[in-house]
Amino acid sequence: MDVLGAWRAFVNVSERGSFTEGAAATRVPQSVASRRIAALEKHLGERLFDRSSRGAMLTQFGRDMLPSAKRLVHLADDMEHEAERAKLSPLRLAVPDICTVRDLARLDAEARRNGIYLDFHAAPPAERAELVRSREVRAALTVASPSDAVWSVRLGLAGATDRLAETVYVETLRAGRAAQSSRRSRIWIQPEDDVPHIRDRMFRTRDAVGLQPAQVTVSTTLTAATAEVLGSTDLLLCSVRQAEELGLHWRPVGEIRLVRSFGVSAAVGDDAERIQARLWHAIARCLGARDRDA
Amino acid sequence: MRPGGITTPGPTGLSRFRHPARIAIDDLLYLSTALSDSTAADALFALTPPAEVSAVLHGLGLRGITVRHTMQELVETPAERLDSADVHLAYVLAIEAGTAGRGHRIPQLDVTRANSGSARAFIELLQALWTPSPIDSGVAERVRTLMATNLLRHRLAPDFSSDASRWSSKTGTLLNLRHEVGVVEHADGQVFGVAVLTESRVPAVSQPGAEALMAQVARTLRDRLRHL
Repeated sequence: MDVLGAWRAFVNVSERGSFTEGAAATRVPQSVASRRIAALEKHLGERLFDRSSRGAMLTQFGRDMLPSAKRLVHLADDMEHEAERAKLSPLRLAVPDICTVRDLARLDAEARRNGIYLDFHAAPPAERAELVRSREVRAALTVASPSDAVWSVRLGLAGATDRLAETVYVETLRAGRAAQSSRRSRIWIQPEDDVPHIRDRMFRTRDAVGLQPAQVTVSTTLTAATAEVLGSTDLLLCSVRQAEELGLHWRPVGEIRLVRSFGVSAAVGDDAERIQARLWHAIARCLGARDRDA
Repeated sequence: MRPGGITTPGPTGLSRFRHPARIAIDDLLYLSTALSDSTAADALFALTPPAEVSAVLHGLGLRGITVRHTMQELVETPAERLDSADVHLAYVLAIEAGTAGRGHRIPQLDVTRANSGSARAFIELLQALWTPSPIDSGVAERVRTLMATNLLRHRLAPDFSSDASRWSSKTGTLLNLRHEVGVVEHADGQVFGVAVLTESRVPAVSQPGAEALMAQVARTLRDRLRHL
């Protein structure tokens, strides 16, 4: 028995003094309203309406039940209203500050279709982890170790000029013995990649192939790094998607395979699962991950 | 001599020998000086212990150089315990584990416990070998000849040797330390002593860039002195 529906019909019929109008207010046919109230009377073992009179007159028992029935119905209405509002309240999500406005807007639109309202907070890697720890955001796209990445983005080297080689070997940046103190090309690591599994491996490769320490550097901002690359033969460590957006020519790295890897951290575990399950593709596009194997 | 049998890159001469050999002391001198053969050097240290070498140097008025241990003790660094893929970790340790007052967690890099000498002290030694000094002239002549035949010529030699000059030197390499002291004698009779002692901040075994930079700086300074 739909107890709440029956009480709602009871309240509406008693307020309007008519089964027909009360049923209409409850948005059910009159037969349904009558059946519900009859079921309620059977459940309670007492009549609520005096059926001998014309119209719908309450019995004494009916009058006694009316106030608490009204409270129940109001409470139910309030709860439904709250539920609607709760669903609309935005989920604050920390995202990498390398995501473009266009991609974020598309992610937002897709999330809305899935019933999730997002509010973005762009931040560098360490800050995103901190934001979710301090609960300033409900969830964050954080750096994951490559083995348990939800999204993986292959990194390569991008330069302003189109190089002929299919692959760029870091060692080719090493100055020859005969080269006299000319400016040496550098590799710029953007702040998003200032994480151990990318930065340290890149530094190790730099040392192993004999580059000068300054030839592989972490830049303070992506913009500064891009500016260095545009005006020189320097290279930017970035994803294919970033290279396309920045108008640079992208090539894979010869010596090592570097992957930017992401996962979701959330203050409440359920949020992480929802985001991962419903928005995987939209987030993949934002991060520049091509597909699950990329 | 018992064969050294070492197969890892680096050591030379007797250290890599696979069969026993009889070698004259004079030839041990050649191997240890011109080839940096540590096994040959230790055979000589067995005859003249490190403390005695130090005493002889101090007796000649050369007080800046202290010899405390043999080559075997010198090369037994953490690098020897790691395979080639991990050997850079020993270099990270060498670079990062220094303590205040030029001390070091690795004994061979702690100047208070290791063989040590300043650039100035080595220049004094070179001066004593190349100019009249308390060192026996026959001994000085022999050392000069041995240093001229040094086979390790990848460090300073490319910038100092030519048909118009002669480069005689001795290199020293341990972990992130790269040293070379030598003398360049020009055809016009000018003679310069060079001592380059370096410590790299880069944790890599092979650093041709650092070697080239050492030579470049030494050459620039020598050129400056020559024009004075």
